[in-house]
Amino acid sequence: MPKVTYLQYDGTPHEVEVPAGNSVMEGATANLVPGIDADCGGACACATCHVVVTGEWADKVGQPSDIEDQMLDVVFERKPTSRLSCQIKVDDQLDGLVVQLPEMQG
Amino acid sequence: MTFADIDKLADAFDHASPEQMNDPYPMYEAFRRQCPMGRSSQHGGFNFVARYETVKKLFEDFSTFSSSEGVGIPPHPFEMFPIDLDPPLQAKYRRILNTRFTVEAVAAKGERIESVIDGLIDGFIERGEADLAADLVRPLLPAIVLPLLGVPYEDQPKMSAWIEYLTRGRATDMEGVMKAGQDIGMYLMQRVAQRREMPKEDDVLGLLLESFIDGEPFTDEQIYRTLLIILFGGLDTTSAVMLESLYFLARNPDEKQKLLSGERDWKTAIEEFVRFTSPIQGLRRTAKKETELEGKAIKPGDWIFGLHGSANRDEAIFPEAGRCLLDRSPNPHLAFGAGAHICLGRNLARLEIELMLRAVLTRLGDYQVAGEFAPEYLVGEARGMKSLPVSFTPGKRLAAAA
Repeated sequence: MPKVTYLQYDGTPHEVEVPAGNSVMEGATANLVPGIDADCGGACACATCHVVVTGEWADKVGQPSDIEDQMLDVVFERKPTSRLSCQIKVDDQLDGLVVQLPEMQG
Repeated sequence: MTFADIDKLADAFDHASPEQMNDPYPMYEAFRRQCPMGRSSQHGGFNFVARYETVKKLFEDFSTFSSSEGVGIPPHPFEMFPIDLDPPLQAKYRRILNTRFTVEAVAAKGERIESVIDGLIDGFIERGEADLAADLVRPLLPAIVLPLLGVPYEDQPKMSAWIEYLTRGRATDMEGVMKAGQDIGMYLMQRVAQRREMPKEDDVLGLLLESFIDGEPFTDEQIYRTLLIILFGGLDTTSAVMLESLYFLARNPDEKQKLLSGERDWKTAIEEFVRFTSPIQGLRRTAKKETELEGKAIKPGDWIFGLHGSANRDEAIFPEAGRCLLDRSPNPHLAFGAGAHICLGRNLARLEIELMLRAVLTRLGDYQVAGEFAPEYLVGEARGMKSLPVSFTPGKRLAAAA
């Protein structure tokens, strides 16, 4: 099963297994990883599951859609590789993905 | 239950009708089975959806189903923010407001909430009887929510009267509703203007006075429209769950014991009370583009009313959906809504309900509801019990008599 590592803002890593087809957000909430609120449940509607994709993973993860791009304007301190984790579907290509959590959500 | 003429039932469906909504659940079941998207001719005509998955989709897909033309039927005559906005603008409001309603932020209010509850119980505990609606639940919510917002508590009676009118009067007296809307608007606008001249205070109004959206400070009107929806959301809906829970526990005294002894997990039980009550029975969206729901065509501009009350009784998701099972888990109910507009105050509501039930079970735990009592409901988008008369062994006040 693909593994995803969530780095807390202070650098603490949480490595969890996320079934292919689930989102990076679902991987966090299912494993009680702190720092992902996901108020809207994955509808790309609340901007409270913000992550910053690290290093070379950015190309593999790809670009946000137009709607996600608009929602990302709402987050605290958007970075060039910021994404909403509910919109990143995990697959074998993303096995080993590392995402950084922001200082705060929403 | 199967209805022979389902189209006729759908055509007449009116969530503002006390006859239909005192017990809407058999009707909802018929809708889910026989016409998961129906068409009512009431209130100018609207579609409604009854199944869980469809209701969830309606509330999640904001780019197809918009809130920007209002969410009530009949429409509220004035806009409220952020409930009448779509993302991303809606999320900018929520980003600011959410900070006041996180689990941690509301937990800090716990002691104050407990003292308000104990004070209200002191008011009737020596009598051995009470109407838990009039004596406890209805006065409790404004005492918590008004100070949280920045509305002086002494203005509670007129505030509650206005809100009640705006919630219930739209189907019957739109002129009166307009008047109540103007009155509450004038009151809140004055309050905002006063507060701009006063020292900073730590409440939602104070927060909004210092907040910006897209670099612009909030105008008085934006603040008033934001306070108004929190008032709507904060009073009526939580009362409904409290009364339904109290009624259920009166009829199921073994569950009182299980909660008190810790055999039942409070958090799990409260989610079930919330699902079972579904205080918001339905809300509207307006289609922005051509689409389909339940295999039927939707045109831009069509109204679709999503029935939370029906979704939460959908057997496809909730086995024995008509029973209140306090250990139900998982419980992915839609009572707080779904998607961008999920209830802002849900963490506060959960805390208020738990603290109220704990206090009642501790202080008047043997309370009973008369055998012949049958609940009657106030109806509309929000549905809640009118009264809950109980009797119990008289107890002692906690505070010295004034």
